[in-house]
Amino acid sequence: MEWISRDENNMISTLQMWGGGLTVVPLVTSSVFWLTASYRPDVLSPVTLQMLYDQGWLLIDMFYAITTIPMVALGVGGLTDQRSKPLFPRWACWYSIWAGLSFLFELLMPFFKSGLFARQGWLNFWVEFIVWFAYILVATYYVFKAIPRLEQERAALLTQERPARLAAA
Amino acid sequence: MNDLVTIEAAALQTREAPDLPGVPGARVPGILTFILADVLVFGLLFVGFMVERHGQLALFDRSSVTLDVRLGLLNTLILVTSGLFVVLAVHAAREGRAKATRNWLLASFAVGAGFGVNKLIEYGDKLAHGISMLTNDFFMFYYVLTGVHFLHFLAGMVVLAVLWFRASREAVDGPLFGWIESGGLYWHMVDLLWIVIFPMLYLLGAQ
Repeated sequence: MEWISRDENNMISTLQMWGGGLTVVPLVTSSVFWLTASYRPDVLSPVTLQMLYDQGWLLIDMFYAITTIPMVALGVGGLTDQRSKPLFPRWACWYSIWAGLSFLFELLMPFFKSGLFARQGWLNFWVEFIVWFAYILVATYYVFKAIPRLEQERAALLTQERPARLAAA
Repeated sequence: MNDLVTIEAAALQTREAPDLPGVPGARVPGILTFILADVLVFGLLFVGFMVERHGQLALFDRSSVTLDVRLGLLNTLILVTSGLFVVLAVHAAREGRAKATRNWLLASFAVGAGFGVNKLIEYGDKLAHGISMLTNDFFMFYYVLTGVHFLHFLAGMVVLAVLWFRASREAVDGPLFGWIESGGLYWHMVDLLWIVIFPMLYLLGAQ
């Protein structure tokens, strides 16, 4: 991502990188909560088991913004690409931005234990995470397509720069 | 009202332009992906509302009549008028008329602001009566549907403001035109969503 707009600042790519990296945190941490519950389930009280299970989902759902950030950054980075043939198609950028913002519905999740806005509801679980999965497919496909192009650009850049730097030294 | 006359004339002509559908090389604005996805999810919410309503008809109708239809209707008129001004802004931008573009964008923003004021009055009134999204399933849908729509409205107002600023610095028929058109399309979506929300929430329960 760093090379996508190498002549400008790296704000967008930094947001994408940090957001993508930190997205791992709620997923891994919640998994450990659930692992904790399943480690000695016969000894723990049902209330404690329920609490550990809830804790996992509350962390995942309420931490949505850390995933919104890289998704919006990827879209914005793709839309502001100055290449004559941009790396990402515009529809993929807009989908990435929309999918990232659509997580906002999760704000409702702590208020409902049943219905579409609950953590298991058809909106806050099924729609939200299917949308996210589609984003993963789209983003992965276009990033893989972009990598060879970026590698070529960087190779060309290095072959230009090296003789100039050697001459200046 | 010169713009209203010329827009009719333009509609009767055919023109070579990359943004018109059907012309070879026409580019569908990427914003349509955003709009389509948004409309799909709102559509799901509307279906969800109708299914819930079917299961709790008396409750939903009882709750619906407590909404102020006049305020809802006023909001509809506000958004439709604001949408018309955006059409005129896009039309002016396509012809390179920067000042007219800015004026129509400003008018759209000013009228649109009325929607915001109205909505805050409505919410304030409901909350003062102790009605929240947890009161019952109708009000859950009422607050979430109008609330999410309101967030879209706010984003749209920001877009109108940004376009108004940029139109003073850049040529409106240059690269900025794509953004003006995309912003216009988005604003029409906000309008369209309200046109479904209003009858669904405010009018269905009426006798």
